[in-house]
Amino acid sequence: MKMVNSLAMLGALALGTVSYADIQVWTRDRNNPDPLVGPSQVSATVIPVPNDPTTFDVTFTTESLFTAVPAGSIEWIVWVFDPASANGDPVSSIRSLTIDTTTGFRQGNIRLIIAPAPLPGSTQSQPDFPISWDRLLFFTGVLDLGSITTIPADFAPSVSACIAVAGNVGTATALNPRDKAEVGQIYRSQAQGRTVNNQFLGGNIFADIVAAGPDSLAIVSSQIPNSTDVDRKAIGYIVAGKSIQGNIVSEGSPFGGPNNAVRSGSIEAVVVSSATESDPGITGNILAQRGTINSILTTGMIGTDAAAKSQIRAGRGITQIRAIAESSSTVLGVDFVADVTANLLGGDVDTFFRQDKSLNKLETAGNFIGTINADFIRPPTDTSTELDWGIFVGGTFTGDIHVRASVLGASIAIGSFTAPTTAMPNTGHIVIDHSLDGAVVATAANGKIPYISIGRTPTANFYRPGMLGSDSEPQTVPFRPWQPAPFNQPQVDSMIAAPEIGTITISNMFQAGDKRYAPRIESPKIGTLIIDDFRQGLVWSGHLEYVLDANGNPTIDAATGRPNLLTPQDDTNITQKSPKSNSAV
Amino acid sequence: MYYFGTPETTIAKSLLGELHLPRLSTGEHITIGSSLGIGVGPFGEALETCLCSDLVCFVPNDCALFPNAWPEFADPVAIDDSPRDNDMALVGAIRIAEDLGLAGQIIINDDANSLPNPTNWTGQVIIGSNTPNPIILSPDSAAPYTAPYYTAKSSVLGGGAVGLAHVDQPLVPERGVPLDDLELGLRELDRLLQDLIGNIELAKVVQGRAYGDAQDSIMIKLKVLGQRTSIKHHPPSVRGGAEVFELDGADEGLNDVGGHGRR
Repeated sequence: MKMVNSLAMLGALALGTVSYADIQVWTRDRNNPDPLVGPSQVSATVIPVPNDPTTFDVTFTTESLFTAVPAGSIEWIVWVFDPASANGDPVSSIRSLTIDTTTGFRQGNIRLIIAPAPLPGSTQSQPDFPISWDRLLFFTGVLDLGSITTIPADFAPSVSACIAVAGNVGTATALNPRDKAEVGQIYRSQAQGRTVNNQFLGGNIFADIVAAGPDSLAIVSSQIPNSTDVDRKAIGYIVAGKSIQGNIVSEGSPFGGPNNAVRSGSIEAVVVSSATESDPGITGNILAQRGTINSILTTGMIGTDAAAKSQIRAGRGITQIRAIAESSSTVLGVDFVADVTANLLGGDVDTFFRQDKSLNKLETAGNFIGTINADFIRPPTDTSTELDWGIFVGGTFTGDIHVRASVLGASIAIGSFTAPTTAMPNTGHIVIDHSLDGAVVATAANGKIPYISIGRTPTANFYRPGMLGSDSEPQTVPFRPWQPAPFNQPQVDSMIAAPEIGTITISNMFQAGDKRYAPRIESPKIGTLIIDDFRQGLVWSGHLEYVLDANGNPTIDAATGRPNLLTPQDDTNITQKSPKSNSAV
Repeated sequence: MYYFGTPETTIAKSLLGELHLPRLSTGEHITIGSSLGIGVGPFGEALETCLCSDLVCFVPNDCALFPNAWPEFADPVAIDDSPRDNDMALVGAIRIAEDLGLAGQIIINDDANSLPNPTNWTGQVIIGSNTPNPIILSPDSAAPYTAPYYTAKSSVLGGGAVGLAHVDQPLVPERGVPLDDLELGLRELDRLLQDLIGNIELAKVVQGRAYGDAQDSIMIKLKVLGQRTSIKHHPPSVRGGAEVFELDGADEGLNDVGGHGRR
């Protein structure tokens, strides 16, 4: 039976010392005193909850909260925790936490904290949500937590939660359906795991984490639950030490509210911090289909199965997806097996702010299998001075990239693209509908770009489509053939470059008025080249540069007085393809 | 280009930047819809190679708005053999690195627009650009390399040709023999390219040019039908055979075209 399996798992993680009988629920009026300005230790009232020794479920009612707090408060802070956590590590777990509003007082708003309450005499407590949800909860409230449910389900948007467990969120064996923690906003869910006897335990989020409510925005703060929690995303910080296997879903809300606009449901950060590069770090989906995703940082893989890739979808943009530890600058060789969509809301391209529905950075030293869709690939702000925004995949990219508007001040730098096949004709395709103001390169020594299209479906009333040029002087000595950004220059290079390129089709190649250098295409081997209007720029195939001496200067052929050129790659082993095939490389 | 599989380079409008390739092999084409180098606008005005972001920059002074419009930087060896020499990107040229590297065909003004033809070829086609003595076909070159009517034999270039399309009378076909494997006498070819033969307008016929050697390759393109065929030139034989031009590969879709050839 599932429950037996779950309990067995929980017991195993706790190394034999598990209690399910001591969970407590404490509450107090959220506004009296204001926890954000009042003393950290405030009085609270414990309310009786049925700790079912058979099911290990915990249920409390809004009626019990209403009666427990004087003056009939309807806004509560509620702590749910193992009392042992007030002075040490929690040992008790919750299989299912239920908030029941079907009897007595049926309204109210709840800040739910799965962490120790400020008990008299406690040495560790979590007085309230951190002011910033990206701050760690220092003390965990329970060992494992299975699910969080409201009755009825439409009460969920009235609950905001912070969850800190020492073990796992969700149960590994509860997969169909998964355990689910569904409330209005989840400011934090942390399951960082712990080390016992040199053994790493827990650290997994098996449950689906669902924010049923929208972001808290300042302009609509009076319209939403917990109205003082302004300018926060519906899902804040989801961190697991080992893996996130459930789905992370920020639903937002459809048309309604002020201006009858879509209410964003966004995700600030999803982090897997301690997985190895071969571990399945994130295998669920991460969905903010009416909002944004700020950061996905992982030391383990994203997705593992090419036939069931993880779906990472944002309606209005994704800032970064990186194979990197939070505190490190080292990019890891982690494979991403995922479909990434940053522009799910569709609609018109935002030509004014140019940030909407952008992907700012995707970075791994491993491989990528999947598709990428965004309106823009660009830095997060127009004032960014960094040159490392864009898509960076050190290994092989098997899939396609579609940019609905432009690559602006950014790069697409891939080790190599897998060639298309009859079954997957779009594999290896880069399609930039409007313009490339940046670089697209295949960085490997035998790297290939099968197909790239620029400016073939331009955005109306936007600047001229095509390749624009750059303000940066091209890197010459030393010559670096497949690097997207030159040294000590203000902008990304304007270049398409690869050891082999199958098809290039560009509407316009020109040097925009604000650019100092024209765009270039560099490749020893080019299959098909189509440029509608070649106004300024350079297409160079064959020998790419000089043979340099130890000082970085070109060597000169004594007979001709000309510089010795690098030998192009042998092209005798290129398989001839049908002219109608896209498999040019 | 190092072509492999789909030997095609198409510049649908003008080439005012630069193409650099090691060779253009037999069977490979570079097609430029309008001009190579600085051309003229649709009203005969000078078309500047300016750096404005406008679609077309007709007014030279527009360029003055951009003080960095003609950037230069030090070339470490002062010759044009680096893709990173930015001044190369502004000239309107095709550089073929190898000596005798032009074995394929280059068509300029493939759209056969109404511009005065010579002004559609103001840039350079350089054969052997990485050799000490390259051949430069351009309007500024001395004979026999003066474009567009250069007189150098194709064997000097590598066997290929550069053709500037002329705007000819529209051709319209009537019922007749197919063009497949058609052989035409010189005068017949001329008539085919000049006459009205039927009531379907073929719009414009692009006639490349190359003179001199036997087996020289000329290209015509029947634009409406989307067909392109090479014409082989068979000079008069010593035994009195006629001089003919052989059209190979003009098959599908051309069955109603003809009337002046002999099979």
